[in-house]
Amino acid sequence: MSNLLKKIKKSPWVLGQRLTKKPRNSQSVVSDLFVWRCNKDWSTYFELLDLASLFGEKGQHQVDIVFFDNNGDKFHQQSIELSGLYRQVLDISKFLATINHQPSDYGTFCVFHKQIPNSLLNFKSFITERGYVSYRYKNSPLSSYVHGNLDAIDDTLMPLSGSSFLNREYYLQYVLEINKNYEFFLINPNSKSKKITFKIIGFNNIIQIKKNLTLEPRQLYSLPVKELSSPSRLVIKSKMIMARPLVFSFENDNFDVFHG
Amino acid sequence: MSYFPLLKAPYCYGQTTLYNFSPNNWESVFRGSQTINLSYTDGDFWYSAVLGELAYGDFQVIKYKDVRNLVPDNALPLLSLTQNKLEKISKELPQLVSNQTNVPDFRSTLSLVSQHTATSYQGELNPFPPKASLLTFSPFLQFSDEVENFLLLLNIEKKAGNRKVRVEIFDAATKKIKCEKTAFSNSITSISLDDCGLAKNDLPVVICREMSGIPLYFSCANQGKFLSLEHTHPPASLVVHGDRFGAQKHLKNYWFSQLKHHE
Repeated sequence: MSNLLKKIKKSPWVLGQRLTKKPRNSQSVVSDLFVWRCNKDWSTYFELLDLASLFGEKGQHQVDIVFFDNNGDKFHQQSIELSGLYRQVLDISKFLATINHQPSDYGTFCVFHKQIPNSLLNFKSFITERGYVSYRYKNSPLSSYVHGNLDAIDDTLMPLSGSSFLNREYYLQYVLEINKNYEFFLINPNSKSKKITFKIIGFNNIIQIKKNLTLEPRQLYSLPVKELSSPSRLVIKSKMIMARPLVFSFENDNFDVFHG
Repeated sequence: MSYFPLLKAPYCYGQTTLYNFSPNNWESVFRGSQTINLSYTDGDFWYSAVLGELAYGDFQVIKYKDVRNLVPDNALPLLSLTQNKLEKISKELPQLVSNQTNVPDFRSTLSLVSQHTATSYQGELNPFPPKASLLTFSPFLQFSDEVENFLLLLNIEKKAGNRKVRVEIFDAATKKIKCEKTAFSNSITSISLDDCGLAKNDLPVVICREMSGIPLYFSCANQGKFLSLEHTHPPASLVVHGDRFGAQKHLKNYWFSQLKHHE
């Protein structure tokens, strides 16, 4: 197929459909929507990097951290002083315990850097927090890290992900094994609600699980998958540009976490 | 044209799962059986061999033990899934006619498997230009008597061979060098981070002025009973929109000038 034909064929999927929209305000800062999970089995940590200091800015800097419950409703916001070029680990579980108001076992949070490095003005870029979350399960001596993945939301709490004109299918390139359990987390980082279909399909093409739902903006959905009868894969159908899930895989008391 | 490496780390062997199906329904891919290839360099040439065929819609798990007798010790085994036949011996990394997508990238599952458990990430590996460099801020170290921490520096370049390069690890706040290590091109180099004298609140900056690569951070507890694996973002990921690579260049120039080269 010629390049021109390929471009024409692809155009309904790409024209006017950016993965991440530009914030309206040129002074905005951007963050991923990171998943927190805190209960008797789970602890969550976040590596707070002082991005302004990394860009060579002197002085004391701060971030605003904003917490949402699993429905995408904001329930807490707080400023935190950064430690410059020292490592600073935020224990999200302890943090939520101190505010004495945790509406659910899991939700999302975002981190907005309050100082924009002057050097960025030349590049017309927005500073964004796509940093590193770690999770600890039960009595594990080790946390497992996963990096941020999307430029999901700006500091007016406006979701920034684009929308597709047509339904898209996201095929996770991963084998779900019969002797393991899984939990998939999917966030709607779009400003409009989205209809989602999850399907777990065996490599023998038999559908094992099908779930239809609607996700409101910033809402987080968790799909547990247990006791599969054959090796399978995950398909997510939606009008999200890239419905990339966060995946937890469990084997006995061990777990692994990664982005799709 | 992505390769899929078999990783290597202490207490673990590498396992890579290849997929002959697209990650989405709208970017055009070849819908037919493809060839599974193994490539590696002995330091002088690239060598490639056919491992098998993978039907459309299917997956294949390949473990290090499956290729151990086909590659020299310490060589990085590179898998690929192609529509073309690769040259058996070449000076340059073979060109792949393979599926490529962007949203998301066409990936495989790159795993490290211990006697007890496994950890993985969804990844691919493309050749880096030989004149590139690496800057990464790495807050992944875990401190406990039971835990060991490693940087796994993963690199391939078009040219066969194993260039020896210097990896410098600094403390971001003091800009003082904490340790200096050696890595190689076309390899996965395992670098222990536990003997660098890094403290809990030190933010390590890892740089390599002569080579780029994917910096994977691997921690394990109790000789592989618990594992963690993740890579850091390239500096361009600290910003979105605009001239991201201009911002990355600025950041690299700033840090490379701040972190003095030690002879």
